[in-house]
Amino acid sequence: MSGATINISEVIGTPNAISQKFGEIVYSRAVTFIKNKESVVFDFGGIKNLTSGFCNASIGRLFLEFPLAGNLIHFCHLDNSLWKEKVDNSIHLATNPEESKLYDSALASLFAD
Amino acid sequence: MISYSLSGDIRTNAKGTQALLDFYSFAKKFNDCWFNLNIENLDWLDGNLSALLLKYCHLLKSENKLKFYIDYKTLKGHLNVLDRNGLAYHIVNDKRYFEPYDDKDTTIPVKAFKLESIDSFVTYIENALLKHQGLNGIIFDDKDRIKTSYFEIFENVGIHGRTEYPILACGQYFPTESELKFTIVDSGCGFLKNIEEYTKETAKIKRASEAISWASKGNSTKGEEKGGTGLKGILSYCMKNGGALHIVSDDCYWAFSNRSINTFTLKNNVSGATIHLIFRYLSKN
Repeated sequence: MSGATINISEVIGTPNAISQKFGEIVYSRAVTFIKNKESVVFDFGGIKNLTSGFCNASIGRLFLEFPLAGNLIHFCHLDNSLWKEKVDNSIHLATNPEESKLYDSALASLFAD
Repeated sequence: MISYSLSGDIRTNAKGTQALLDFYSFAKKFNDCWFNLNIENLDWLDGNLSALLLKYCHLLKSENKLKFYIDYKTLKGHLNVLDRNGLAYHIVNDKRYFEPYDDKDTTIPVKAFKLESIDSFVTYIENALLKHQGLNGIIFDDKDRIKTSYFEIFENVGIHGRTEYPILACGQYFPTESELKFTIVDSGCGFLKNIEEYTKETAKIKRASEAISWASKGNSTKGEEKGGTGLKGILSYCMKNGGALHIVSDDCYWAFSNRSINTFTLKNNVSGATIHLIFRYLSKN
């Protein structure tokens, strides 16, 4: 099967995947393959920091635009549990837009009138 | 030489912020001259507020061409923190007597970051803040979440702040109180402008206090591309660990502490936002 492995830290030129701009770069690298129904492996090897903003702009955006692409998108070296949570959240937000207002009950009670 | 006296106690609260704003409002009236920042009558200044004071002095230097003077002999006792954390060095024109060196290891030095200096900001948060002796008692997972929240906040300034001015940061550890206060400041457009525009058909937010609350819940003006987790992450940490989060924007000083939110009105605030995070109940080393 054709496709690509995208080493994130190499593509963005830093181990700190913390900006939306970097997410857009990774998205641009992957989108052509997804459009052509080719698989993409996102390699987190070499990454030291990761934010939700980056995940939403890259992986989340792919799932938003290609809701059925789940079987084409894979991850490797995603060993950090907090990062896995961020990646999973970005996918969940993209595929469940009606739940986009994440709101724990503790925060809800703080802001209640 | 024009002179202005900072006096009394200036702490991380609305009154302290107003005191620094009053200084800026006064100094803004002058152009292209020497300016003596007199601290003889200053009893206390929270060291983390150096980020805010440096912002005002930076604006006055660049926009009003003021040249600052501080009498080195007055930086004694507690006030030597303004020397140790680098504030005095960055403010004064004659830097011969000011050499930032923290022999007490209680400061997180005041530092400026351009919006494109992401790696530099990462290093500062990871090393200067999270490896500070004052935060030794915080578990790794919490530190990981805190640093990620700050990265999101830094990113949000770049997207929403609409400014080319640097972001400033500074921290201070208060071992007697078991507190560490960390302050980050930008010179952007603040919270209200963007959020008022974004919510004009929905929540119709018109006041700064509402805008700050809206952002702290995790909302974002980024539209389909979700974001807004930075402040929510910091607030969640404070709720879990008894810390405090203060946010200053437009005419509002918004303060979360002890599970409640209080707001105060400021006069003559300067464009931009300030975020203070107060870590509490730290272990004493």
